Amino acid sequence: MHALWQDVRYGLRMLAKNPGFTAIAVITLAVGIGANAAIFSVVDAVLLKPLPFSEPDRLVSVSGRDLRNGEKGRALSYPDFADLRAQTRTLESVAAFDQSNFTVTGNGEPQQLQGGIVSADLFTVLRASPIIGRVFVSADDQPGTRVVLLSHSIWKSRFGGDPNIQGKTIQLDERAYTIVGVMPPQFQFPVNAEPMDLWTTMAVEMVNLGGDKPMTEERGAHFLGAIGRLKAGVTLEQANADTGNIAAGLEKQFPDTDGHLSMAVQPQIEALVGDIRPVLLLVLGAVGILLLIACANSANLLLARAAGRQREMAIRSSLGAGGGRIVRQLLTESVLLSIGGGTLGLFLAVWGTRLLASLPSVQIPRLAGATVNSAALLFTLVVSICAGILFGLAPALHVLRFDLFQSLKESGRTATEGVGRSRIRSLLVISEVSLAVVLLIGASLLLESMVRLTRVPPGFDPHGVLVFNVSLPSVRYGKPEQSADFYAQLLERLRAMPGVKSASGVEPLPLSDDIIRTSFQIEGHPVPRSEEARTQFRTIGLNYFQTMRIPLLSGRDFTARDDRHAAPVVIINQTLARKFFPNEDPIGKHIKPGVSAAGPSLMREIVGVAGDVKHRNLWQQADPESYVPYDQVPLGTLYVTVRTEGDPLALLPAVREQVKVLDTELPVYGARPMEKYLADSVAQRKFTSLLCTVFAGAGLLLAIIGLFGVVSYSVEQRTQELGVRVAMGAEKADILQLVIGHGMGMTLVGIVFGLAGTLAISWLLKSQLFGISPTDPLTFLGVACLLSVVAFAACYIPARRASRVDPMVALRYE
Amino acid sequence: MEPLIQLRNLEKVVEAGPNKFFLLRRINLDIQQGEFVTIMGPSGAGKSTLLSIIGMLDGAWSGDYFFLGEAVHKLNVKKRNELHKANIGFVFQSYHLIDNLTVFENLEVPLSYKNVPHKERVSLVCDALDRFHIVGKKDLFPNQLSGGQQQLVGVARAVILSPKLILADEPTGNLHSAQGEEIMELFKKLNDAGTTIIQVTHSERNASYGHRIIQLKDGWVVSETATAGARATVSHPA
Ligand SMILES: Nc1ncnc2c1ncn2[C@@H]1O[C@H](COP(=O)(O)OP(=O)(O)OP(=O)(O)O)[C@@H](O)[C@H]1O
Ligand SMILES: [Mg+2]
Repeated sequence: MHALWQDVRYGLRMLAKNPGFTAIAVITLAVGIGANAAIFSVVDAVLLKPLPFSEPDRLVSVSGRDLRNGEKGRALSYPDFADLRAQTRTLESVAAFDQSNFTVTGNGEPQQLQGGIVSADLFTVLRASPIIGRVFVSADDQPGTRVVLLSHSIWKSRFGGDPNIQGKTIQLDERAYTIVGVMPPQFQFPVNAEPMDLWTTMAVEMVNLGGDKPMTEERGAHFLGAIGRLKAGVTLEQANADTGNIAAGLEKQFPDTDGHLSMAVQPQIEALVGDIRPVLLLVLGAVGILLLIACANSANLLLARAAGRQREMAIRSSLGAGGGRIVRQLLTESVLLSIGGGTLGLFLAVWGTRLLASLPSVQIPRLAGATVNSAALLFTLVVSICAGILFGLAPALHVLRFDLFQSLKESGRTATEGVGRSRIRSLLVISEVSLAVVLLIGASLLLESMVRLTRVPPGFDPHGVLVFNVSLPSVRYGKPEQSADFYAQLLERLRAMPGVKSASGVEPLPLSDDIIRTSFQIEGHPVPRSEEARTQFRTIGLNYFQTMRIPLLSGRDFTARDDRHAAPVVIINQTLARKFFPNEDPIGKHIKPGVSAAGPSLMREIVGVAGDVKHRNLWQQADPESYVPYDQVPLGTLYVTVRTEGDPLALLPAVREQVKVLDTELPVYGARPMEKYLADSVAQRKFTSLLCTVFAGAGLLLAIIGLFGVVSYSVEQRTQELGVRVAMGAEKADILQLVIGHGMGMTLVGIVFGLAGTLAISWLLKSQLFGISPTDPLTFLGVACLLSVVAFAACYIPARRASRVDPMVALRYE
Repeated sequence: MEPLIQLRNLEKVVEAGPNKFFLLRRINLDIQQGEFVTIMGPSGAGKSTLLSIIGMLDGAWSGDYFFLGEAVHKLNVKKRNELHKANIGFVFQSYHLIDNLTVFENLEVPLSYKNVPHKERVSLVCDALDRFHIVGKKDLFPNQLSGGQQQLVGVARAVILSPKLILADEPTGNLHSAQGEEIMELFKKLNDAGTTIIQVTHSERNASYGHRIIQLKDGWVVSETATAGARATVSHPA
């Protein structure tokens, strides 16, 4: 015990004597451990953590698949869902869900709430139970029922955690709903970034609004997600065959609405994180490479240092220290270093994970729930400690294996260090450089993609545009004319406001993830309904193109005369014009998009062609697209868009005033500058590219430290040799060349291996790149140059010291 | 013939804190071309110091030093290095071969610093290997050679460019007598061929190979004596 304490004290003294070495070794380890533990914690939280429901492996997502283009993940219609539920033989239970905004009134300020609209059996599927009251029963799905389950947080915040809440009513969109229960705090569905405040049943979708058929009776209205639970022992393949069969039957039965449509299941977790997985694995790969560099680096540092102490070891052992004693001393120092690095790494990991989890709008599901994963921390710690021990012990083993005399003789007389050990150290540096090349190229490609992406013109000018929503309760705004008139008045008022250049509205908003797609017919080219081409569909207020600064390429904009009584009109985008009216002027032609708000779909005259807009995201080509006046197709609620003269958000209070003038009960919500939508659409890519860049930078730094260390150390070891060379006629330039040549030799070999390695794995990056090839020669060249320059600088410092070697001093070592 | 080396009032001082130490004191020395001079003296007398000044590795001294009439004391470092490179070969007591280079490569080192073209380099090295009977060792590393063999390589390296002057600081210090004799015979042969040699040694036997012995003590030249083997033609040129 006393001996151990002595070892520790001596070890600490040795480490304190070389503060530079100690700091670099500790920081190297900390960076490797911290970054890996942080990213692994994120991966665990986002990808690996099972869904917070009982037997989550059996939960599957059911979605539509377009057989013509293979597009997956399409929403289902309620009738299709109902048939699936009735016919499935592989799913124990299945539920449909949708999301909506609800305005809660009474009981305090009006407030905008996020609500899930779910079929009653959702809670059977999830096996979730409430902390108060009951979950939904199938009777709750019947039209006319209005029941609601509260989330824990809204129960606390709006109802003060009232224990007798069950059976009370809540005013949602000016209708009374009966509260049947409260869910536990950890319950969240759908499991995505934005938590729900409450849940109600499909019954709310089944009411007849303004005399139309309810949405739930339209087989063509695809708006539902579906989640099911596999029967015990059923495989995914069996379930897929089952849903495929059901869909095939529906296709036969309802060729008009279900043509070319199939249904497929995938694990629910896959539906949730499938898209983000490759991205996170990429980051995990980057950080893994960083760990390798860190290990190589600390190994190299320890080797260098231990080699420098070979003589001390030999002398100690000649003085009678047993091999075990020497090993223990070295082991103590390695472990002390690892503990230091591990502790600092732990802080880095905790801080890094917290930072990542708190990043706003990164658009990664479940990221906010990331906490440091102890298994990951332990794993990286063990890896680094093992590397430390292995390489810290190498010189001690050397002493034990070779005879003392040899060791004393070698360190006493040679002008250079042992060839074998210097080869290991060179190899370590070469691998560090190659790994750094891989990281740097990957990060550069991602960064360049990012830059190219942000240069893509979105087709409109988001700068200075304010976007917000006003939700219109169906009690007072259920009739299409009512909402159309409301928006017309609101826009009128907004346009008159000082600081407003123009105002309009649109549904769905570009880059908002909302999308409406519909099939359309072209007049004079009749095809069966199932063969019809598809177009994105937008309903817009007056002056939309002017407000968003979307160029009108030909024809005219909608005017106030294109109202609900006038002839139906449509403006198409350039892609639709090019694709379906090649070599002819589309103006004056007619198309019939299959969307109706009041009455059947109509043939509409094309009055204009607008420029293409990147509606989905910046990296995908524009789809064919049709715009219709909101007055003619008042679909749901509009995103109101206001082009302002200054800061869009500064106008918000005044905007609220205007809304209040029209209707005191309407909350304004979701107010954001349009630029935010644009930023959000690339946030995830920005996140990955920045993360990879940080890791690549750290990798470069560690590799350069490694190189610097090896070159400096070899200069120290070769002092005598350098003196001899000077005595043999070497000039300053010769010595500089010798030392820099040594360092750059390793660097260049490393770069070559790195480039080759990157070529071999660069296809992994392909899906994350935009506008640049994964083997972009300029990037490869650039990284090679960057590394060479930095490496040159790292070699130059010790080289200059070497060139100042005084042969007199060097040769005095006799 | 002009003397190869003329030292006039050469002094070397080092400062240790407030104190000054004279390592060399008022050295006046002429060495003729073709001479074989031995420097002797007790340890710490300044022999190595003097040798490295003559060898132009050390530039920090005062006094006058003429090398073939050229005023070394007036040269800048670069010029001095050039003069050193062109005329002087060093042999060290502890050989100072470069460990991770083969014998062949070790011999190449001085050539590489004189920009000798590759072809000529190979032929020069092969000549030297031949001359010193170490052709068979050319691919071995220094630690695969005996001490005597290493010193042979050291001498070969010093003479490969046929310098006018060879400086040897206790070249046989680490060798047993038979090996030492071999080296001294070699020096004698080189000297006979016209190379000027200055050696430092503690051994009377080695000194007897030379023409003249200069005794140093505490930085002073205390005596100069001709040896038995001295040839009048050399010590007293016409
Ligand atoms: N740079 C220096 N600074 C201080 N003292 C020095 C320096 N160089 C040499 N000396 C001292 O000068 C004296 C002469 O050293 P030198 O190496 O010339 O002795 P030497 O005659 O070669 O001795 P030996 O026979 O042991 O090799 C020694 O006392 C040495 O300590
Ligand atoms: Mg000496």
